Amino acid sequence: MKFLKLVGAAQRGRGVFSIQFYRDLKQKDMLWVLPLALLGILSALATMGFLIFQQFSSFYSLGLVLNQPALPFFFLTMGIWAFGFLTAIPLVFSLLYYSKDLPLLFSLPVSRGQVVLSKLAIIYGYLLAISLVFSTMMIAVLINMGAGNPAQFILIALGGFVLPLFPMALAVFFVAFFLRVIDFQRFRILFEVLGMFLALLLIMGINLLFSQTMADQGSMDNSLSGLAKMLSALIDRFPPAAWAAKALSRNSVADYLFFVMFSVAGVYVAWFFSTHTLAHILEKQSSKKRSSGRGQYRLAQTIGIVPALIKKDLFILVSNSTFIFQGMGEMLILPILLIIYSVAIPKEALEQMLQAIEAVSSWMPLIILGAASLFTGLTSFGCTTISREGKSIQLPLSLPLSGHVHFKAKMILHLAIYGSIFVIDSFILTLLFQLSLAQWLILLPAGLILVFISFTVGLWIDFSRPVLNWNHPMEAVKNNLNVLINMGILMAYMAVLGLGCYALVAYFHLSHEIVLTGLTVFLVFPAKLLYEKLKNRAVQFYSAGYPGSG
Amino acid sequence: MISLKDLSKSYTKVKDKVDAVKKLSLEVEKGELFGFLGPNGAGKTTTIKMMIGLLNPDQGHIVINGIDAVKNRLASKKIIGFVPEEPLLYDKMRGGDFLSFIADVYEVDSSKRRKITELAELFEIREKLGDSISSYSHGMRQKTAIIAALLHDPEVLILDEPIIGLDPKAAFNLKDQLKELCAKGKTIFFSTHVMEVAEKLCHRVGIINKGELLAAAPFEELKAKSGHLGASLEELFLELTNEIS
Repeated sequence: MKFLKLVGAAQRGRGVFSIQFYRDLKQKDMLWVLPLALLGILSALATMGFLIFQQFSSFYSLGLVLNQPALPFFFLTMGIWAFGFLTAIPLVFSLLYYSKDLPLLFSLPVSRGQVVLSKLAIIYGYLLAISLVFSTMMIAVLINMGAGNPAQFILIALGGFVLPLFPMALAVFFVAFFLRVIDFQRFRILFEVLGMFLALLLIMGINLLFSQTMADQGSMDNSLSGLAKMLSALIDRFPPAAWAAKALSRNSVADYLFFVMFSVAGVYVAWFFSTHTLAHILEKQSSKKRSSGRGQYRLAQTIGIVPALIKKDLFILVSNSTFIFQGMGEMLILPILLIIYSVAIPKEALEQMLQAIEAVSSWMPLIILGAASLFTGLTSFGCTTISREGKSIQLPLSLPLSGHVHFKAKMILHLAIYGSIFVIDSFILTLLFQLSLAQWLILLPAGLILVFISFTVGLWIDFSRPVLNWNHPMEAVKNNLNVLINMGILMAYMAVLGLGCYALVAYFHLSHEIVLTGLTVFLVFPAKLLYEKLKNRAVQFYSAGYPGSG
Repeated sequence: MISLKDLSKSYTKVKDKVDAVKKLSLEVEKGELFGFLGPNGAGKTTTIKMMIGLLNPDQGHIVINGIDAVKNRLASKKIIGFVPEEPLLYDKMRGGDFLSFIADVYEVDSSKRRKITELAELFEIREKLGDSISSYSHGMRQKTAIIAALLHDPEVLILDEPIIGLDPKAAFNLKDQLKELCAKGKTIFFSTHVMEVAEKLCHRVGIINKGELLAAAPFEELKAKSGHLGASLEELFLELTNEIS
């Protein structure tokens, strides 16, 4: 079982889940970050769990109406598989096929199979977290509906451990296939972004199928029978998911065994296949390193210090798919959600929704400001700015530049990206909810200041506890506690601001325009204060030397 | 000119305090090539990191060409060229883009940028400037870091193990460059494990062990002091660091 030792070493090397990590925090008197991180984790889990709970509740009710009890379990399976597959693609790429520790591991007296197995175990760990959230929500739905029994709950919980296996195996094949057929490394980012859009198309397609099936049938009875036929056909087309669904809905041991065997067999074949693919990739990598140059290079023009630093930060941002994937997801999430809903929601439902919105139309500018600010503020971009640089931050630290120059470059880049996104997001929402251009213009300054404030809070956190000694970029963004601390602080800040605005409108009967204008003026002060403080903090950070060295 | 006075730095490892550098004092004159020798973990890199501002000393003074490098760090960094032990580069940049980035930061005038191509030709990576740094071998990365340190024509050059990873021709060219720079009055401070290089190249050598400077003198003087006139620098080094069994 050498692979378990490899998994343990990799986890200890990564740090976040190791005892040493907590010892280090204690030594630095920074245990205070843990409750904040916990708040961030709980907020994220509560939001995700609530959405999944709502969705599964609807599927459960729909299953009862259509006399298809397996329906919610089918979607539980498909949900875990779809999310698992999409999450697994970048993980398989960076943790399995292009992991930086492969040369070290292959030099050890450990078989290639054990190395691959250890990598698969780490990837499985990530997917398991997603799967357990889904399956726990399914159990919660059953309890809430007064359905299910302890045996079924146990089967669902165990199913949560089995369900991530198939998407992991599929992702291993998917990546391996492209690695063998084309120069996947060169088009890696394109593929990963393409994967994200394909997933969105899938979600939109399913939603469209639902809404169209319901809308085309005329009466409610016809709609339901049309939907039942469509779902039966859908379930029939995915036998492994149907086995899982039947196993979980009817406690069918035979179906359960089929689906467990199918998943385990998938992983076995993927393990076997990737063990051979790895050899091929390593060969390809070394031959690529030996290849000659691309010819003459024309020297770039002088662009000045700040633009050069911005360019450098952009290079870091696009230096690996983890950063790009994370960034793209965070930047485009709101427009994507809006597109999905605008395409998938039936016309009648949309009209009803707009009627309901009309009742609270006077609140819409504030709601839009809140929504767009949350989507542009609760991101990992600002609070991992320093962490993303990793050990290479020693280079900027050794340059003859004051911290405020670095700060200026980072601020300009952040505002250029997230300021633009706020403008676009709020404009789309303004159009969707039929606000006037004047209302949009009033909320714009407050939103842009909030973008700036969220950047300063994030950067402050990252200056205070940068994660620089990472081996895998995931440690700098996804596994970085700074993201959760940032989320916790900003959620609390936004809640206070939201409550303040609500009180001003509801109890002091101020108009929304006055509240928005007042909010803009009010926000200028913390923004100015944070700017000054952070500028000094940046000078301090860049003159204090490398925090990660011994 | 480099002046280090009573320089100290310690780290806390778990609960133990480790003295990496202890009251180190030395001076390197203008136009001098100074070799800094010591076994692994002796405090060479820590001393260098303090000189270039990557670490703050706990005590002591660092003066570079009359500038207090602790109090006026930016001014001192402007006149220093630094080659780290592990080249600090941005892997996804092309070699040429990286060097242009460094030229931008050091505000190297457009008219003087042809130095990038001249140095790239000297170190034989001119044809590779259009390639991504991630495709470079260790030696090519080292050459890029050396060019980056030289292109703004620094008054003081600090190099941490610069020879490691270089092919014989590049090592020869680097040594030649260092001699040429010394002749122009530049101050050069470099750490190395290669005794032969230190012996042949340096005007003076300093030997550090366990954070303490054991000796700093021209090689011939060290030999005379030790009473072993026929000894090589390697033998003197081993004797001073008590590594002869």
